[in-house]
Amino acid sequence: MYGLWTRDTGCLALKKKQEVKNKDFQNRSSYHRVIKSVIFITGLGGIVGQLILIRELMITFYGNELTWGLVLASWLVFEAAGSFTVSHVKYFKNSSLYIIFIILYALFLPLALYFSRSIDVYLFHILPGETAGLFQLFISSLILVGPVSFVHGSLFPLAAEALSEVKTESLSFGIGPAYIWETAGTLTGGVMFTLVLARFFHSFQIGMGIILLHLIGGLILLGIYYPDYKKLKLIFLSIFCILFVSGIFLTNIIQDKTLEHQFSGQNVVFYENTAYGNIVVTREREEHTFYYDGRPLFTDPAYDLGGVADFVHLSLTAHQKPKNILVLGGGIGGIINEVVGHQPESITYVELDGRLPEITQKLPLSLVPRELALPQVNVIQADARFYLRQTEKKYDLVIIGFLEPETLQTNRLFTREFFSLAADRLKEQGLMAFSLPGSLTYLGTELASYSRTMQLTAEDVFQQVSVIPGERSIYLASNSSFELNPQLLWNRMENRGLQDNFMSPGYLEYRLSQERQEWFLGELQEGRGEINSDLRPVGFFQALNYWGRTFAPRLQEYLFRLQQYSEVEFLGGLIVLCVLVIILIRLFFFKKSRVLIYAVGTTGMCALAFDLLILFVFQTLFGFIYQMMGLLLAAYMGGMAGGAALEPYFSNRVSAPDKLFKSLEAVIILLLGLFFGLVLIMQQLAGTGQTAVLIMSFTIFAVLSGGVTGMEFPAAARIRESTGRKEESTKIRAGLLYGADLLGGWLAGILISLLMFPLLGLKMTLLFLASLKVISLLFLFMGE
Amino acid sequence: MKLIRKKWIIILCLVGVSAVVIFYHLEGSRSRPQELDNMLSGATPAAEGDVELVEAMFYESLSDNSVQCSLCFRNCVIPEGERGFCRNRENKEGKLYTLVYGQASAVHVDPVEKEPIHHFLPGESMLCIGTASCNFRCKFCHNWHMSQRSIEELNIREYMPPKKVVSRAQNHGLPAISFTYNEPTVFYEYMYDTAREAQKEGLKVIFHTNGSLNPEPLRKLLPYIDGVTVDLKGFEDSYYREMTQGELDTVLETLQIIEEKDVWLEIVNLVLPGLNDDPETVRDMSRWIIDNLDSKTPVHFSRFFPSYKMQDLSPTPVGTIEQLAQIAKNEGLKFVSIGNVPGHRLNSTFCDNCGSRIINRHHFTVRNLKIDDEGKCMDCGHEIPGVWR
Repeated sequence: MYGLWTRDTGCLALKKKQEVKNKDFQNRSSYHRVIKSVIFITGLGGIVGQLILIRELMITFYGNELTWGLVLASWLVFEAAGSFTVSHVKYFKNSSLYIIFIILYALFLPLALYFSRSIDVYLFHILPGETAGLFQLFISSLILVGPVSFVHGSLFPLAAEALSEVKTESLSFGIGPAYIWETAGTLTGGVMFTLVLARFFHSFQIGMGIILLHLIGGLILLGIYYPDYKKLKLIFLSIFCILFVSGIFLTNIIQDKTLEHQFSGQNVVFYENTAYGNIVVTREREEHTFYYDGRPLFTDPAYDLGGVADFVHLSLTAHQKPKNILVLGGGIGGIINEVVGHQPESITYVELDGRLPEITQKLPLSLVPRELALPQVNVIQADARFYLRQTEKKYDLVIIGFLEPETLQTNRLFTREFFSLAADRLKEQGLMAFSLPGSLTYLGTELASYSRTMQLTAEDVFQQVSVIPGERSIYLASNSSFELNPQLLWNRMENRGLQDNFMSPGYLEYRLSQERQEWFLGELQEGRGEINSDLRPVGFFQALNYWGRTFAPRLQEYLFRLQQYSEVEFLGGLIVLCVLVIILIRLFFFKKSRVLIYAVGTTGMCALAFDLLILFVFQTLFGFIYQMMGLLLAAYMGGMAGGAALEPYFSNRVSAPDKLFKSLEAVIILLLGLFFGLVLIMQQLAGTGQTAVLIMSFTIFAVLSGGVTGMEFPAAARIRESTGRKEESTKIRAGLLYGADLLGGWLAGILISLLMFPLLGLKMTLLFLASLKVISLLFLFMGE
Repeated sequence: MKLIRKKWIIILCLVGVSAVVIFYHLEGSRSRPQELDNMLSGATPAAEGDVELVEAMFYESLSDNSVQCSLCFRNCVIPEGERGFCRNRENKEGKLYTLVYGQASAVHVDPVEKEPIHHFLPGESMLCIGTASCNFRCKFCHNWHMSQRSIEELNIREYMPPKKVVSRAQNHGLPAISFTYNEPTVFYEYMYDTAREAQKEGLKVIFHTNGSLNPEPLRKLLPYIDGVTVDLKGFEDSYYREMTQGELDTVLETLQIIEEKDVWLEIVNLVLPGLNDDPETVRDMSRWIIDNLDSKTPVHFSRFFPSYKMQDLSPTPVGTIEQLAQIAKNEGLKFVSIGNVPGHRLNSTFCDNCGSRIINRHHFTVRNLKIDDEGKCMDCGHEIPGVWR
């Protein structure tokens, strides 16, 4: 990703010199400053473009962390390809290419945005409401992200060349400042996106801003390189003015149009990106459906009465006299309406995204405003885990609304740690209740494993756990004993005046039948269950597995088979694979460089791993990555840039280039361990009110880890120059190292999001990465 | 150069071998369960309790050892060693075998109302059976856990030959057996034999189908069937193709044959918003039912909720369902109900003569019956068609 620019700093410093033909601006340092401002713009445009594309793709394609990993990996591949390709172009003037690519980025980004909402329809003929699968996601991310990131990747070497053309010194003079200014733009863009853009503007408004900025950049460059091309400048200026004037109007039209495609056949009446996700409301006849990150959340007023009432009434009648109820997430749109029928004294509804209940007040809804206006209902905008840690209140029932551990954000409500928090907030005889996908007919192994994992996780905390099988299975857990006798539950319903709903003694007999219960428990034994925890989000993996059964059955089968291996076996297998890779490198590459290539590749893996794991762990502990993504990514990239910029300083202070390199390898291993320790501390402190401090700690770590990994590439380039074949050109040298770094990052993007973090957890993932670095350090010490 | 070429060859060989090993290992044993292997190796059917290899009905041998199945509208031509589209019928040495005979992956007791079949033993429960796979690929399938898997992918706990199914129902004191969950067409032979056995024992038999059986097998089966629920998923061929990979005409023909054979018939239409909820289409469908079947054929309009591959579609507005139900009634259909909207007035059944609520139904629960065993409305004595005992 942006690490690629860090890599460029080292290797393109050794690139060919290009004669500057236009001696008129050769010594005009003012043009140097102006070009730097263009570089700043492209840096800003790059990070913002990436973030809005990721955000849109997450909405279109089932927004979970797998989407991030795939999109980031795609961006990385094409960005490097762009940088590598353009550096080999000989027959065009750098200045022309630079202007063209700036304009191309301004063109490709809005196109990518436009099609991100409908690519599944155009490419794969996905029907309205049909969910696209993993293959569609993968191909779409390549097609959408590819051209944009390819073009953006091309900009850096062109920028560096442009800077260096102003003076006649070596190219390295251009790369350093270009990198620094681009990173400054990146950082600024990341912060702006987090604090302002994401909250107040939709994607097309942001995209329009990027277009305008790049047009300015193009105009500036035209002024420098082609001062006599007045007509062209006039065209640029005209386009800029038209877009500037019509921008708001035009972007809103495109926004509405693309939403129509995305929600084909429905009437979109509300759209907003909050700090936590995307909310869209559609209206059909008298009903409003709320979508959150592209998935239907609830329908007002006609919610799924069968499902909601079933869950609520079975849960509440399992308790003798529930007075104080806590609903965590997913409460509005039916659950509260049903809970109130049991006449509790209080219903506390905790919702992470405070905009959700606020928005319901602005629309002509009939059910939800009524729910929220009930005197016994108290709405609290907070993270559920934070609330449970902070509150001293105790409850008769803690209900987790219709959420599933299908993202890291929601998985954190289904972990052992969370269940412990919930248990502490229960009164005596108190119950915790949640529901997950189930079946009354047949449980496949993926659903059995999913259910078993949740059952085991609850059993790890609570003394009694009962599961009522259904289209959605209901999990009831308590540290006191409770009974699920149909007659007892019916009596309680009658006592609470609820005998007129669709429940009846016969219905309860059917739902709580002993035969069904035995069948279900028997099916669960076929599943592979493990305890779901914060740092080993197996629940998330199982949910992904379940989703995969629908949308990528073949891949799901392979993933499922991987579960039969223990952590140690899996880790061992991966390490054996790495050793095989080393053997391959040994056979193929010139011997003095083979270890270096392996080291650079594994550092590329660690670089993206740090990037992703920081985001994933932040999501797990705090749950609001949507907003903070820009800041964390920018911090990491800033660190990488800083590291690359500081590399010459450290290199000059060591006797041999490989000493610095070995030191950096060792530091990376230490950082992997430090990260784990930091996360353990964060886990204890998250939700205790130290949020700002914890976020700052994460950010500092992101800068630190980025700095170390960023410093390694130019160090590797330096070693390569001194130890490589004399006849090897700089371009080829750069390409080898580049390719290794790229491959490492790409592998990390796929493996970590899909497999390692969900299945092995944080500890084993870090152990694996540390093993890779230990192997490379050993080889370095063994010498060639 | 030579050295580089040798290295490349070694590398490619290593990568290729590794890929094959990994692939083979991950593929695992995708072979059939041992029982199936035994069956297909020609093991003879043995004593009760053993897995039986059953030759399929309704197929024709072709030259070169291929066969053509003629069970459903697809009429698959199946080369030796291959299976049909339904994945349940395999050609072995020029003979077609069913792979799911007795392989009940789901055996449960469910209320009759859940089928849904409203004019059939209201308030009773029945033994429901399903096996594996389907000859459609509906994107909104409710039972995809079974219907979109082949037999090898399911855990079959118990071999249940027809007699065992019947005795299971009798042991539970159940009056009826239903072939449901996945499409019964694809386990035709199992259904056929079980239905015959059940009829001998005085049990009623129904099945819930997508209506894709060919006429001949359907006519052969119907004498042993007491009721059929047919999913009329839409009334446009394009909808059938895009959403189910099925065919409308076959379904319409099936409906007509069932009507012709005077077997009790009810129709279910699952309404997906924006996809098959056009009022004019429903009007055409209603007219067709009246003209080709009977105005007294019960029709159920079911509300859609996100399911299987249709996770991002909003639920059907209740107003839409009500509008479509009203259109059907206006066109002349006598018994129109609404499903998946618990508590709705049209969960119940009303006398088409006096309008009295003869079956007070709330979701799957029957609260009150005002119809006698003869099927007469207790208020006006009007005869209501159906199977009441």
